[in-house]
Amino acid sequence: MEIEAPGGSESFTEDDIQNLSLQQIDLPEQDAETASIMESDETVLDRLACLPYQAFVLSEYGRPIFVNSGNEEQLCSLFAVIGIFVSRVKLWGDELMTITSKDRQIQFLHRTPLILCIVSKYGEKLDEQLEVLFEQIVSTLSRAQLESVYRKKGDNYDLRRLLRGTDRLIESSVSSWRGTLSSIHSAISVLPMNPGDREFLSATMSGCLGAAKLDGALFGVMVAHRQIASYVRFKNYVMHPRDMNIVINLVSDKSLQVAEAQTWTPICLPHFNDTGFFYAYIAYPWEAKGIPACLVLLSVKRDHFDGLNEVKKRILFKKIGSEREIFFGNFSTAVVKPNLFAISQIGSNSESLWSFVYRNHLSKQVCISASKIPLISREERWDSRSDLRKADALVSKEGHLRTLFVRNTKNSLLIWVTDKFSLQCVFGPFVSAIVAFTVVDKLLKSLKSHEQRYFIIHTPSF
Amino acid sequence: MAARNTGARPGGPNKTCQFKLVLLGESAVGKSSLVLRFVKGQFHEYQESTIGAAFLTQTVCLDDATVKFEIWDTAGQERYHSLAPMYYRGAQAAIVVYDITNQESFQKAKNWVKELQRQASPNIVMALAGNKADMANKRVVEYEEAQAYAEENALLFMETSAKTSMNVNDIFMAIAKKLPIGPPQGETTGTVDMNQPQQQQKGSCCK
Repeated sequence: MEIEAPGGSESFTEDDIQNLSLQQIDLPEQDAETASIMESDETVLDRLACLPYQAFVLSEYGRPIFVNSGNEEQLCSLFAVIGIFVSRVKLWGDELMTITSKDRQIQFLHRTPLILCIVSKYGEKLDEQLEVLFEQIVSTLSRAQLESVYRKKGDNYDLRRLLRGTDRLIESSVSSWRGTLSSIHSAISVLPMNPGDREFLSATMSGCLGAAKLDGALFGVMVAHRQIASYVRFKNYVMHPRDMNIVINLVSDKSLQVAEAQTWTPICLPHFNDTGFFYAYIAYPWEAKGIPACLVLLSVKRDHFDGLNEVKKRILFKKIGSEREIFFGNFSTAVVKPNLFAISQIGSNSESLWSFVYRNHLSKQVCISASKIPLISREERWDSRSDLRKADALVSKEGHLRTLFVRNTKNSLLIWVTDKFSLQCVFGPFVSAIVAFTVVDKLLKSLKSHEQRYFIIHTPSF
Repeated sequence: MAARNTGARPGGPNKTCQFKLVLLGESAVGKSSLVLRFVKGQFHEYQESTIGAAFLTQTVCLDDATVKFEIWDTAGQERYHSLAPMYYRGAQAAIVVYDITNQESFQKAKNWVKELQRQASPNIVMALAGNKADMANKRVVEYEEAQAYAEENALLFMETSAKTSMNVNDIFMAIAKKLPIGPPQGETTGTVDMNQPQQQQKGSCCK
């Protein structure tokens, strides 16, 4: 059966012309002070053991850099053990990847000059999580600087000096990973919108960016609730979904959501180029009206702030009149009351389908169903997501797996993978495979007919 | 919540002058808190560290003119140091901030003053702010010491508290009064700018 994959066929990861040179930021030669209080405590380890997961970042020399939900200083010895494990295996000419115990999996990643480690009750895709964590750190410093700083300042350098203030960004990256499904970090999620409104927004953004003729301004993105409302780009330049997630993580930081303030900050997007920096112009233009949508404009030129500030003004005021009023009304509703895909809209038998995650492999976009009975409470949704996460892990482990239907006591899982898409569904426990596949067929048709609402089918360039 | 004096109506009798002001200083001395107090009248006990630099505007009314500050609130972290010239280049005013309970931050402030004296516009109006004056019981930088330093270097000087709002408006007003207001538009070399986009932006935020 030939299935048309909803979600577009525009590739998100062509990288033929991504050889633009990016600038470096000079780091100071002088060191700042670090004062940290040693507070050794046995109970810290007991507390750690209760947590579902724990992520560690350290230097190759064993120096603590980051631990989520905790104080690195209290865990120096634990960091040292991680460092010794990794370096010992390296001495044997091998690479330590995982250690598995009864209820924990420990994953290691050695990316010079850092060692990353995650201890988790959930064993799925931990390698990818560590990659994301590494890229999150690279986004602050760039890979080139990360390597040069240890060369210049010695192996024992305390990297926390340079990362100061970024803990919360690293934390939110780690926790967004855990909160959503593991596939999401290599894909993006799109804010459901009327196709016409999305087109209007994209056309306005690309029109204004194009008219400004700022040489080096490459991307414009409108973000709300960690989802993309609109995305425009210069010529054929493309932003990798993992880079997009770094941008989303940055702009979702509470400190930026100040009405009438603009932020200008360097950010390295490792998949685009890990040796230099983009500059991000970030504004929440309607924060004062209670609409948490964020406009991000990315340029490779550090002196583009004023130019991009003008672009923002033009985007906001272009076509003042009824067309804009209608758009703004619809857009604010789409942001304030996000209208996720409701399973009921696919019609008969849909009540047996409880939740789904659809992912288009080409456009790297996901669509997740709105929560419905009986998966409403946090725990219920969390449990079903754990099931889906396990299913997801199974799919990535078993490369040949195409379809799978499992009936459990609490629910039934259906997985369908093709070259173009993957679909994971949670059904009720009493559904038969035949009914489930009929529902899924209708689901795909419904997604296809509304694809412009739930996906970005065409990325305008300027 | 609401922004205070958002300034003269476009076309009013007063002159409107626009000035670029930059805040510099060690991280966690309270630069963002000073700006938020001045621009929005707000204070957060746990202000998150600034990412990159934040750009805000605030307008103050003097007797014969309206001064619109375009404020660059920079992040104090080490990794952003080399970006500072991008913000102070072309600035007509700077506030260098230190924390009166932190000696190191005062030393950093002196370094910033030196850098500005060397690199910034020679006419820049510089102020030194000893912030967290409400925490006088933990004071380590004496008022007299900072004042003497400010006098030597011809800086405006005040101890401020973003928390109690002590001297916050005053330091910005003091700067506004020292800025070159008066010459009709176009006469000075681009430092005073009465332009259209400014009015456009007002339309957006006052709506």
